[in-house]
Amino acid sequence: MSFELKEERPVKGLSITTTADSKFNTETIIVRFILPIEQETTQKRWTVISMLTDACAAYPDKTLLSRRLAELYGASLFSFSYKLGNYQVSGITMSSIGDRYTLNGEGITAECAELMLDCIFKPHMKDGVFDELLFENSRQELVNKIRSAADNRHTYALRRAGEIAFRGESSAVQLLGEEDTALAMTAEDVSEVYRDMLAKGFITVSFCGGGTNTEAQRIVSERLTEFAGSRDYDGEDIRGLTSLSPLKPEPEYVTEQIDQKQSKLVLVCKSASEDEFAVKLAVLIYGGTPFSKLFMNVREKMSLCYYCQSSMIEGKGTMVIDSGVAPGDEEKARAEILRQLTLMQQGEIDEEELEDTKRYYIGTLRSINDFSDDQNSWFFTRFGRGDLLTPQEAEEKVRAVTMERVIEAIRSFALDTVYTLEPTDKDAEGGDEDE
Amino acid sequence: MSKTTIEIITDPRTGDSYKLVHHKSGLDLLLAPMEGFVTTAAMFGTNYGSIINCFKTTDDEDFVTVPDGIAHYLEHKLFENEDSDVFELYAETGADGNAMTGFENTIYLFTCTENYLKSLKILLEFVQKPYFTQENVDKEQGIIAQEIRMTLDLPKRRCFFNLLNAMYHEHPVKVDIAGSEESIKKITPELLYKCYSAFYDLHNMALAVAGNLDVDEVIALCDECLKPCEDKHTEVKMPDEPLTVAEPLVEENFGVGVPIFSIGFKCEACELSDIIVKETEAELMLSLLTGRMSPLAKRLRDEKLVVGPLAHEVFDGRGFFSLIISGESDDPDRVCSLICEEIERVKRDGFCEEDFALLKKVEFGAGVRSMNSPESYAENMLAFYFVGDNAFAQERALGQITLDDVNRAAKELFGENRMTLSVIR
Repeated sequence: MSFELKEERPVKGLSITTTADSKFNTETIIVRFILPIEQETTQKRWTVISMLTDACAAYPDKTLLSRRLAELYGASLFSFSYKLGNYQVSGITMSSIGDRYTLNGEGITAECAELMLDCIFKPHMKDGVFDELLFENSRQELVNKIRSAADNRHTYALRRAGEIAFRGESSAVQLLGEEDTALAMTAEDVSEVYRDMLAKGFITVSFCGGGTNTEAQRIVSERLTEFAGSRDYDGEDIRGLTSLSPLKPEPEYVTEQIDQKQSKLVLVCKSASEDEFAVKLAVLIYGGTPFSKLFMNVREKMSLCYYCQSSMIEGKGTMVIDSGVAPGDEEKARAEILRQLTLMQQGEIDEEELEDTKRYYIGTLRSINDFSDDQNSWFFTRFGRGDLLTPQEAEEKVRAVTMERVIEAIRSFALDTVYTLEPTDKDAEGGDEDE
Repeated sequence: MSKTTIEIITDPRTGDSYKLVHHKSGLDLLLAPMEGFVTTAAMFGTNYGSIINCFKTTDDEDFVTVPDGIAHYLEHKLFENEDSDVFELYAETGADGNAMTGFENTIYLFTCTENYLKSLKILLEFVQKPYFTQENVDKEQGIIAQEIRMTLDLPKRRCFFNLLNAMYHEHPVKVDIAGSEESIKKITPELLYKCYSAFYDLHNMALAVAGNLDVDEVIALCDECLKPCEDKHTEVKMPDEPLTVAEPLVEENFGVGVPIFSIGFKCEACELSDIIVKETEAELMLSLLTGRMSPLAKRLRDEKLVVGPLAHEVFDGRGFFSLIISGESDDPDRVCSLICEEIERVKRDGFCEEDFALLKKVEFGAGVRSMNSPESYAENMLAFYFVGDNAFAQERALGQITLDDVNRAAKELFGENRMTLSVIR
């Protein structure tokens, strides 16, 4: 069983992708604008995309827009903005139940599509400038997020490690930016950025859910094709968003302190390997499953932590290992994490581990068929990779990976950054002595 | 030994159905084949969670009190068999296994896209085969201590547990599910076996499987793997809990960017038979009071007191029922007083009829979405089973509840001296 990915590029700067499966009872439309990360504009783009889902000309405040969404059986409309490689991906998702599931059989998905287009193309503006109250609310939300960035110590440690690992690259730029620049932004500034995003962004539209050739898909495709065709788009015809991060000549060790109970460790390793599925399996064997080297040794054998896991940062050729340990156990955990890496690089992986990990990963690939959101995520990961491989095709590639390729893949990783976030009063938070 | 019997549970509106199998072993099976899906999701759960810390089985003369966090500790330890680790067994079948302990239930689960019967056999066998030794119990302490510390570094979670601790005088819901670093040191293999024996009794458990499955195959496997056991008739003792809150205000300094608050309103606990209707009424009422389209949300935004949305939750279970409203604000006290002002207004004037009709549509849409994957289907079947009903119960309740019911709920649920404000600064 598999799903199909269909992509069209009707005009330059626009990609339209459809995945459909009648077993799903929801319909989702995602419109993304992809632009290179720029220090001066990332924060403003975040603000723009956030305003587009807070109000539009027809529903000029959150209350009115929420009421409209409620009429559409609680359709969800939200914005997002994140980094992928050296690009900023900002977009809007509209999701609703399918027409055949409404109480009286009324069609709502076409109305959802119209509302989404209104949000994108007819924002709440006066004389070409975003409404001041709408802007102030969004800016305040941004400022609050900047102020709260360290509230979750785990994600804060990951963010700081990324800043250090990618220093000097555009992907080191924080999307939310700094508080002073946020406070200095004006409604006029972000209105310019909105126009710039529409004019220069590479646009992707994804339809996923239960329907094919629906009225909603027709409405959005036609409108965006017309719009994109009317632009004088001279940006790149994006086919892949990978931008490998260069390895530092020597690993950089940074330790910072904050008020917390547990130390957070983040190790960053980089690779230039292009053997995607061998790398994927190597990272899973190392720390990506509940039977991985890190789980079985750092957690189960040494009882040092609750989580210790490895994962890849998409588009950067970068593996991140993160764990939370008792203050005082940092060095022990770091040493074991690196020892397990070295052992793997020396070839200490057995056939059973490889086969178990392949089975685990193939299960993940197959389950994409059953989750509409996962199908969409898969599509966009492939878009970032520059191909439109289906999960079924990926499964064949995974099966073909040999032990030699996995060892080669793990050998391609070298340590770049070691970041430790310790409790301010480390002695007071010290772990037990009974280990 | 009784015979296995099968009931068909049908949604009267959509015609969707699943099977409730009363297995001869004493275990109830909830089985929902889903056409077109390749994933199988299985959940084996016991009606036993962190709030149960005082109980008596037919073998006991008196009630026994066990350390906080033991249900969660037991969940961790069941994954270790005498001769293998359960994750290694799942690795051989390709299943992705996990478990979760809540206040009231503990669930062991997996999802897979092949070998579902082999994985189900692993699940049924390891949950029925405890193996606790001093050595493996000691080993887990370091892992769980780090899990506890990890949660102490999450300010929103701290705000929530500080709130429960301040709202409740005696009820064990005031204690974190994982317990504390001190309490878990008191856990022994003997105590784990005692809890296991009392609550991992098939009469107190259920198995939900949804997605890619064959009902007859699952029943045949259960015939093979389930060990009939006697009903322990375990009695659970809950302390008397007054309706007033223990503390009206609790604050902690964490150094967050914007203060985080949770406001809890303590209500009278209700009987299991009423819980779905009461919970749905309360959920609708809270949505009307604090939801994005409410007058209160608009006022808080206009006065720039709350920038993001307010979250709300009906937090209820055995011996507890409360309403919780949470958010972030530079002035939580002012937000709290505006919420109280709005509560008084709706108690007096009632909610808007048009908003109520819209909200019912929203809830209906949410119900449809919740059946969109094998995992959520299995989770729904099990959750409603443990409160004595079926997966379509909420939809049924939604159809019955009127605006008058919701207005009455607002009058009944918010009482004097029953509010606590928890703030993390």
